[in-house]
Amino acid sequence: MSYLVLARKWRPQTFRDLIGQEHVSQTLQNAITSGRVAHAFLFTGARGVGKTSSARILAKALTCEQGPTIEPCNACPACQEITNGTSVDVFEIDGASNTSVDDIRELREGIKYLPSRLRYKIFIIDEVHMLSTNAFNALLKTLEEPPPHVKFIFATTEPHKIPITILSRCQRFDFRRISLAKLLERLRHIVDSEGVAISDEALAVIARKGDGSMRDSLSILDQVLAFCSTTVSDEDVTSLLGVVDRRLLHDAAQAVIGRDTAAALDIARRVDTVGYSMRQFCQEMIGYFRGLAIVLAVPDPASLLDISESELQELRELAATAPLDDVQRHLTILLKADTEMTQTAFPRLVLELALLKMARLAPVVPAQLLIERLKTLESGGGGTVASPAPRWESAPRPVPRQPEPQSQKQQPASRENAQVQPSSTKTVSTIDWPTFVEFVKGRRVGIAALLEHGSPLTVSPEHLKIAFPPGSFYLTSLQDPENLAALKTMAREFLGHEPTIQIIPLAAGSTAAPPNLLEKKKCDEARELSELKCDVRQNQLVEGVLETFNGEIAGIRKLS
Amino acid sequence: MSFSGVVGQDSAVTVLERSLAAHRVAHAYLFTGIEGCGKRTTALAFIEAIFCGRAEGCGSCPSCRKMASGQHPDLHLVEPDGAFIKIDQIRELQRQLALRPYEAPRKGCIIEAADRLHPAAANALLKTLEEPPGNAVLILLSPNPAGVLPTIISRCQQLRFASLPQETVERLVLAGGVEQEAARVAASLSEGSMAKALEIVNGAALEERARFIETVCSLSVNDAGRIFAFSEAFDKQKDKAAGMLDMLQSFLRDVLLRLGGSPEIVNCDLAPLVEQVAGHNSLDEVMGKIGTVTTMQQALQRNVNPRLAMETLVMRLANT
Repeated sequence: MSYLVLARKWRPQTFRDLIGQEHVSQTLQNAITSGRVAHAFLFTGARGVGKTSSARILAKALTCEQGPTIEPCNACPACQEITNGTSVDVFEIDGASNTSVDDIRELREGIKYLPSRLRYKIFIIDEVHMLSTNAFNALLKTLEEPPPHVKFIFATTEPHKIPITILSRCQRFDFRRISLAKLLERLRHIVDSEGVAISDEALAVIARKGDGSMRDSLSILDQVLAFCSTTVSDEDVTSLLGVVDRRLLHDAAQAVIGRDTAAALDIARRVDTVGYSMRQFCQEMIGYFRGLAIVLAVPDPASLLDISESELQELRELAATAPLDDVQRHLTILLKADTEMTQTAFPRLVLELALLKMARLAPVVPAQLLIERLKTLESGGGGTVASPAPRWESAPRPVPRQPEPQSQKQQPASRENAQVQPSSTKTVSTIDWPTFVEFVKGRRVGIAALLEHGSPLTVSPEHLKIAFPPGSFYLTSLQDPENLAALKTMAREFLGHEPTIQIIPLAAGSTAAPPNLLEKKKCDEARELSELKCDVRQNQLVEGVLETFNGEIAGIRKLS
Repeated sequence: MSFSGVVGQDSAVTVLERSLAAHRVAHAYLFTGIEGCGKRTTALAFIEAIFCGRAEGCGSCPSCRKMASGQHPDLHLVEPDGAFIKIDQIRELQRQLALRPYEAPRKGCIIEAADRLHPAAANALLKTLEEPPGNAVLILLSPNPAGVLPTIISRCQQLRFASLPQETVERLVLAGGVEQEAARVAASLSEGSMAKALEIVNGAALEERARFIETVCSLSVNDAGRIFAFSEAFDKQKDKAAGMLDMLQSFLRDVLLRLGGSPEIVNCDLAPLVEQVAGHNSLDEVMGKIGTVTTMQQALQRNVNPRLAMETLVMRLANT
């Protein structure tokens, strides 16, 4: 006999062995003792929680030679035949392979004949959600009033795909995911019986990875045993299962919260080098940020998080630098990346994009503050709105964390704050030309593009005088009344009051006019380059090289 | 083909070897790892070892020789027929597995690209995968385990295959008699996939790629004529479309890394162009462009009109 995997070897054969589903086994056993056994059952639940096993146990319990009993004996021929899958009266049908209406018709043909040996004829249809609509409908009449010797047991992971007409004819049992403690108990029982030495921690890692599914846990345990045979060390388990190092998660979160793009990209590289699966890393990141969110939102997070005290402390320290709103937005990005990874052949890129996005997240401006600003704008003449765009360059910045208006008392205080701000900016006597153009760009890109070509002759809150090359497209466009009106409106929005705006042609040959923005940008770049050149020339190393090779500097390029 | 023919997958091979030695061979495996990192080779070696009975697979007995020439009667291969593995293929497999093995101790089956199992086919496989008749061994291969049904994964022992280190790929490509420079570029572009590296060094893929990327980068919205001409040319080589988009994405990723402050660049032969594009675009713009390419890739899988899609893509990517 060849090797049988643990999940099959340890498939529960009695209701007692079936762990984590006491609500199901209790109900079924009571039904058997009171003689109220329904003729159709539907078992639903996640993978590997015991649906097929329960179906077989129920079949055995009903047909066992010891009479319908609450625990099958597993010794009589009837029980053994069912266990081996050779029984002539218990039909285990693969619903996903036999999906058509013809398959169901064939089943109905045979249904009227009495069972050949056992008490009942039992049809177990596994993966029943794959039956076609016609097949389901062909089953309806039979399912409603089957002959007394027939029982149906359906099992599926996807009950939502089953028509309601079928659902209403069945007794439905929802199988739960198995809790970590119960998984551990069962795993411990199995490894002890198999004579394997393994620590509780390693078992916990396996059970956690199994994610509430007994079969998943056992598949993983099998793999571990195949690798380590009878003595399992903790390191083997973590390396074999690719458990992501908590250090790496911490570094990643820190890089993201610290807005360090280079470090964030380095994390992706490290994940790749160590050979973790990108998706798994992403999911563990989700778990980590969930931890952060819980630490921020709940006064006593220990009850919700299954982590050690030192790890909790680490989360607390990190949480102190990140507001809850940001953590939630990080989570949104990660969750989106997780779904994207299911579709891409290049998961590393998805991870890198997500990390970059997170590291460049603009800070949240509290809605309260925005409303205040809006009110000031609406009231008109209330002053300018200072710094319209939040800045994110500064590393761990003091976030304008406005406390949620928990009570009415706090409201006036924050309003006062908001009002002080604009009035203080009102005293500023000059406006910054580039900032204004940037502001215009946010509303009307076209006009901003025109303005970029203009030389600002006078720029003050009361008066704007901008010159353009005579006869140019920019001049005529801006002199167009519609554009001029739009510009005026925007200037009013920006300043709080309407300045006089003059668009004039640039006097020919005038060199006194200030450079327009484009020229200025070019100038700045040129200046930077010349400064660089200067620096390079002064560099001793370069000097040495120039001297030795009798060379000259052909060009300078910035690397970063 | 024995385990010694598998390069750079020591951990996965160790797991398999030990399970052979401990007689703990499971009936279902899922090998995951990028395309061309040795999953198939390992699966064949593993089945050869099982058929042969000696630890490694001797390579000289009739069974091993039949495996080597790919005509062993007890080995069943399932590959996607078109875009999917269809339910009929799975039914045929089930019929085959129901028969006794012809000469080997048990039947072996390799299902490639398990993420491309049609949902109906995947469900049809579930019962077989849980309790295969006649203790057959089923090995599923998939570059993208996220696309595999969780009910399938739960029934398999999952083995992760790491992508090959760049040096290993370079060494292997060099051993195939390729110039040093080409081998280096191919290795860095391969992302650890031997199959991809070989595809790159064979044929004029490298120059074609450079030309393609340069053209895309030089296109401008102001010159719509060229955009349309380019898309038309693209339409004529539909079969290469997916590959080219991958290249473009890898190039844009370099730009992204460059802007994000990471020193690693995959397209080292195109470094000046990466610099240039990085100088013209902000990080957010590049992220947007990568998103556009991803959308296009997904659209191509759904049978859109490639020319229209390409036109849209290039217009979005073009310099304004």
